[in-house]
Amino acid sequence: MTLALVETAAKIAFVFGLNIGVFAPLLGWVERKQSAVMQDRIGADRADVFGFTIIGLFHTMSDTIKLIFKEDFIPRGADRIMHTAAPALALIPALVAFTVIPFGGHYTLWGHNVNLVVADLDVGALFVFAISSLAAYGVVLAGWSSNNNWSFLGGLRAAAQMFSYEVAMGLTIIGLVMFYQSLSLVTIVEKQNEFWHWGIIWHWPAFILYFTCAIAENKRIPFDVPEAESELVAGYFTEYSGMKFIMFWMAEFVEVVTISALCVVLFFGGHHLPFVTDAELISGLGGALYPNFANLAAMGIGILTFIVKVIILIFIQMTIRWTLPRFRYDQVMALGWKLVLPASLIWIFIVGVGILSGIMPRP
Amino acid sequence: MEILMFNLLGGLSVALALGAIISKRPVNSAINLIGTMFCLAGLFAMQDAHLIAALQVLVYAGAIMALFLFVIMLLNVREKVGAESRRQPYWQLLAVVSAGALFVPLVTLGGGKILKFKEAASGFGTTAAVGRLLYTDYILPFEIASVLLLAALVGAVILTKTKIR
Amino acid sequence: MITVNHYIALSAVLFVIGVVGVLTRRNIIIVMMSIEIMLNAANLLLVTFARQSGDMTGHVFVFMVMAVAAAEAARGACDHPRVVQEPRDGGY
Repeated sequence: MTLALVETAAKIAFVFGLNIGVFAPLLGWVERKQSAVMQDRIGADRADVFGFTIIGLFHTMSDTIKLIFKEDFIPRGADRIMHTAAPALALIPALVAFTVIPFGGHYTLWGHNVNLVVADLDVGALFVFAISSLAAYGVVLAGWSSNNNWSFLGGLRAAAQMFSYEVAMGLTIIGLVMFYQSLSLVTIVEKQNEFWHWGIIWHWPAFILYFTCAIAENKRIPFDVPEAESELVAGYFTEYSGMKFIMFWMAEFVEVVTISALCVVLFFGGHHLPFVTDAELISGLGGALYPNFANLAAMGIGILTFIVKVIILIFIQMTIRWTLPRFRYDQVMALGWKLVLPASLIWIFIVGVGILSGIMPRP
Repeated sequence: MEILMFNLLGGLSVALALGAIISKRPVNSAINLIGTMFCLAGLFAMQDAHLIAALQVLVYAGAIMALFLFVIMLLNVREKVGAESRRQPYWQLLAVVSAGALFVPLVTLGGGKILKFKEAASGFGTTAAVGRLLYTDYILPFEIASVLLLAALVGAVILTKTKIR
Repeated sequence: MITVNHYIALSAVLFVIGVVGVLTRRNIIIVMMSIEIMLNAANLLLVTFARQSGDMTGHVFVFMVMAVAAAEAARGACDHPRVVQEPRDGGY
């Protein structure tokens, strides 16, 4: 009982520490530095401590300090309660969605069975979609409560865009669920034990569709019409400053990480190394180490593999962000309803035919 | 533990539902109702209805209430305070009294007996179990529901279209 | 020890709140939200009795109620004439 509590607390601390402590601040730096490298600039290099700039990493710290000490401004005529609650409503779903994502496998450490996921739910994938559909409330309320027309327009745009892409996003993974016969993300990862069972092998069209929807759901370029600077100042967070602004910013970055993690779990085999199953890894390490330490080492390798895969997908997302221009609003909606939605329906049909005819052998 | 969760979620859901029908502004009503939906999802999960709990959050809190909120914001309906927003006091009194009269038969639905829960069978309320039931015994209602949703979809498009070519 | 009667009482309270909401409010959107409260009270009862009898037919019923509620909300969103006029410029 106590051991289980300690284990759960450790897993929650790990997930939150990884998201808020490591990825969210680092992505702010990555976004600047990567854009600088891509555009042949030097980029963020001014913040220094005793002359050391460590490739601009101090900018993360100085940014945070600056934003904490900024005035927290609520515009006149704004709804005070909603204006304060909206950033939290945007950030919390992004964090909660990570609880069902497995970042490792099953390991036996000193007789104690460790399953590296905070909550192994039967409805895991559905839970992620349910929670991420709530992220829209934060954005919509932020736009509505600011008493500003730019914010309001941004909020409405965000609402319409997020609801549209949610529908398509849910449909894109149905083929995958049919293939693995489970909604539980832990089961899906277990079935990707062998490299040839990874989702990307058969389901690469679903990956492309899902990735598109996920970026649109996260409102990043090329789908950032709700906050289009040239049209709406800053969209729904025009009237935000200080810590509340940081929370929107963090919600976006945490969502980038969640999207990457979900892609890794669904399409890229989760924590599995290619061509090496978990059992082979543990028995291979068992030749050199005691069983407990072999399990511990396998756990470390699993988590590291997962994080490396997540970082690669984050890099892809960042590259897309600095490569493509922004869509027009009607183009965004047309893409969602007229291309992605029918394509994902057709893909469900193809997967069904493939499974029934035996072309796609289920793992 | 279970009774604590029940009191917490049940009390909260009642309080938020009351807030939803009392508050003057529709936006506050909608927010309160989203909270109610959440508490009910928790109560469903307490009764091993995992799929229904997830659908409650996804469909009710995520989609239906979002649609309500979207409409409220689009119209920016600020209900005028006073007589216009509510009915006459005697009407309100009548409503509460008649609803209270409805409450009595509802509460005695158990017939005065204490009905206890049995131990749930393994796999009760999981996606696989409910899904199997939906696609075998209840395939006809399921298909009718899908036709209903399609009709609502087409109806919504027709209603919002200003001119039809 | 939680019994079925607890859930019946809670469901009855929620249903009555919904009825009061429908009878006392005039704003169409709040009336529709009160109807949702009543539907949810019924859902709670269905889930409770499904759990008590160990039969998942109640869950199927809740599923159908949700589908009907979604269809109703979609239609309700089109009710207001202002909504009909907005999307002409493709703006929002």
